[in-house]
Amino acid sequence: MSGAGTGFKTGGVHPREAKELAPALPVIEVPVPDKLLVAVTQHLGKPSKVVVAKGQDVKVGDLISDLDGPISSCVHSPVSGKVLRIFDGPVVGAYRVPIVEIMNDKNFTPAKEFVADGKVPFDTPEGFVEAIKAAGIVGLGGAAFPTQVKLSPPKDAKLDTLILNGCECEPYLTADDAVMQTRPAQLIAGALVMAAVLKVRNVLIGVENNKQVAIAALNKALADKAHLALCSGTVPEAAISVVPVRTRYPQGAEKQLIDALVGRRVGSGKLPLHVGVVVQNVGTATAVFDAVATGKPLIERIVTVSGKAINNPGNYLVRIGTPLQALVDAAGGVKESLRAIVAGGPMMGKSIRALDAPVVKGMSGLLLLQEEEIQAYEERDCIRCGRCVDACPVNLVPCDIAAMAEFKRWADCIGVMDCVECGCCQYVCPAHRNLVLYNRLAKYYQRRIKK
Amino acid sequence: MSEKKLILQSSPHLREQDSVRKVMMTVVLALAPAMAASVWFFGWRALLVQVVAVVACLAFEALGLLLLKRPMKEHITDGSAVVTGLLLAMNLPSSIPIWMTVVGSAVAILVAKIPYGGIGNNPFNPALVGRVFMFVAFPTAMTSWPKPIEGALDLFVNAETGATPLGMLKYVQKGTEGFSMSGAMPGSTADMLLGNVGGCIGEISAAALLLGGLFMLWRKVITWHIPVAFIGSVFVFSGIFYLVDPAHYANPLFHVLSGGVMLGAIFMATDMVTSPVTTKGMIIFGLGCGIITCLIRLLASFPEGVSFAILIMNGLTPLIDRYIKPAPFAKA
Repeated sequence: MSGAGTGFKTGGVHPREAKELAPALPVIEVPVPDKLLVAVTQHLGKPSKVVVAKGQDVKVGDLISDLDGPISSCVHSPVSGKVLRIFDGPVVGAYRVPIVEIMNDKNFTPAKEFVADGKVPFDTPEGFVEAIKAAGIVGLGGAAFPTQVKLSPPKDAKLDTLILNGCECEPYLTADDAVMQTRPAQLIAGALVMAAVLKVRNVLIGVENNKQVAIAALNKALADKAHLALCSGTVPEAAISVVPVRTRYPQGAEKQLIDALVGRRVGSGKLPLHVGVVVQNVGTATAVFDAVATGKPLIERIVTVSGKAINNPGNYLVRIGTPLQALVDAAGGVKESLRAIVAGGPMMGKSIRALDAPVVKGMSGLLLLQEEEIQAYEERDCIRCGRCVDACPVNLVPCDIAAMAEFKRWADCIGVMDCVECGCCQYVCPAHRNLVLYNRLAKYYQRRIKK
Repeated sequence: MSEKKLILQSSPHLREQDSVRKVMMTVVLALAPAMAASVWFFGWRALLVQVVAVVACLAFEALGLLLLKRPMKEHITDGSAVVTGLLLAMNLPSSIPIWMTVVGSAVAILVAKIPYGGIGNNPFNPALVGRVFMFVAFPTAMTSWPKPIEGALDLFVNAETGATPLGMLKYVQKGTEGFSMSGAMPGSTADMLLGNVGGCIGEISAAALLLGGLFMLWRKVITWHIPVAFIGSVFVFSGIFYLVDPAHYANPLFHVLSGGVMLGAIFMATDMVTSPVTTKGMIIFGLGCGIITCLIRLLASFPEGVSFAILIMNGLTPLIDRYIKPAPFAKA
């Protein structure tokens, strides 16, 4: 269960890490732009409802949109100023969605005083969940699932372990690394809050062994009991350990990390809670701490801006709603050699055509890539080499699924609903087949068939 | 921002820097030791056969691509026709007439590969289809085996021919008068390892073939499953016969090192297009190849059965892939 050799058991690949381009530190603060584009919905689940109107004055932390239903989340104003307009605009990974454009008055007037140097107060688990929900916290690893939902498991769930995901197995990205290095005590305190909510006594922090500085920082915080100094003494203690895991993609995939850390396998269509585990990203844990200790909603995050086509790659602390162009400008602007823009990591991120979309809560990276980093490949005939089968971490046969998908035989795409779209199959394919794309299509049509 | 269009594509955006061409070129490189051994023992004539087969296969591939209306430049350079040509040549005697080699190449490419849609779509190993066609069409030429002359490096064929060790063994197994086990056996195991025995151009030197196999393993072009299952099952199956009746059946090491087992197990059966995609499937495939090879060698009338064994298992591959799936990640 411990040691540097721990890792998931089947499949996976080891792409070039390319993390040296954007080292974890320093974290550079991005100047807040004059106009911010706050997407109304920034989570997985039911879209939230806009609660502001054009021309309305807002302060930092004012609610922009509110939850709608149990699996939803809210969004807060990152600045003080005036709502210029509410329009359908571009976001990463979706068609045009409602966006609230806010004119920044540069005063940063807070809606209420945030407690500077706050501690985790005395509260009930329900109180903590309320605070997390009110702060609009979602999974910061990329999926952006509302955190309070994950912290409200069904009554019959038998949980014993909280796993913090500090793997950051995507190449290029170092944002989680930065969080772990700069705020280890807050991170662990946030984990304690979540452990208290879930009533589990076992907390494992999984970190890939290519992040030794982060591992050392976490261990030092634990040894110094720095996290306890951040709690008012009412949060129950838990057994916390930092577990270095093998650097292998997709080590940070939920099911793979659970396999590596506790040796349990989450079945097809099942959730981690079915094997007694809840997994949260390390950045989410710090956001949880901020929410309960300072009352600060989630209005900023660290984004890795990297790639060979950006002048100053690095980690940037940026307000949610900052247009990507402003983020890129803060990072020195792009080079002429730019060939692709990817929001997220290079394995699972989305390639986008312009920088007009805003930063959202789930955005961990923005990659500006040049020729030798990214290529458009022409798809060839499958030569049935079977490398995709070896690489698949969930033991599918991607080449067969693609063959069936090509003939629109969606029902014969065996096991495709288990696909996590990690991209390992396509990464290794010598015929450069768009295997993940076929899987996505097959998943879409299988869902449609079921309906 | 530059005026050049940005790449928009579905994730992942990183790819291992590999391609079908690199895979094929790795196979060609892996065949280099066997090619060298063939020249050493059979002279330049062996290389001539290989060159003719490669050129002919490339020409027929080009014709086939025209028929399929495939983009010529991208496909002719994928290297698959080069591999087919080389492997076909490896399976021929060094004395084979040039025109027969061209006919065999035509069958390999235009009958066994192109009609199905070219690379990746053929159910049977094209080189083996070409070889078996030649075996049936030109039985005399395909079964006369020039004796190896070490280092002669002659452009002409050694006129002196002789039976292969397996050919002689057939008579021993049948109990034919005048054939004894000691007479059938070549000089030494070392001769069989190095290739100083009669046989096809590329099958004689077990050492050279193993070297190529290790290279492909290292380059991750093949996995160990098919060769190990194939060679292992030949060893065990022939070993059982040897233990029961050593007077009529050769020892298992002989069976593994003689004929086409090494060439077949390392280079022919591992052809990715015509073998299963899962590791479990590959083991079944390799076992099947080994067992059928032994059945033909020990019980049927042909002295050698590697080609037939692999072709039969090629035919079963879709069925193996249909039923053998990787163990699910977790039970639902």
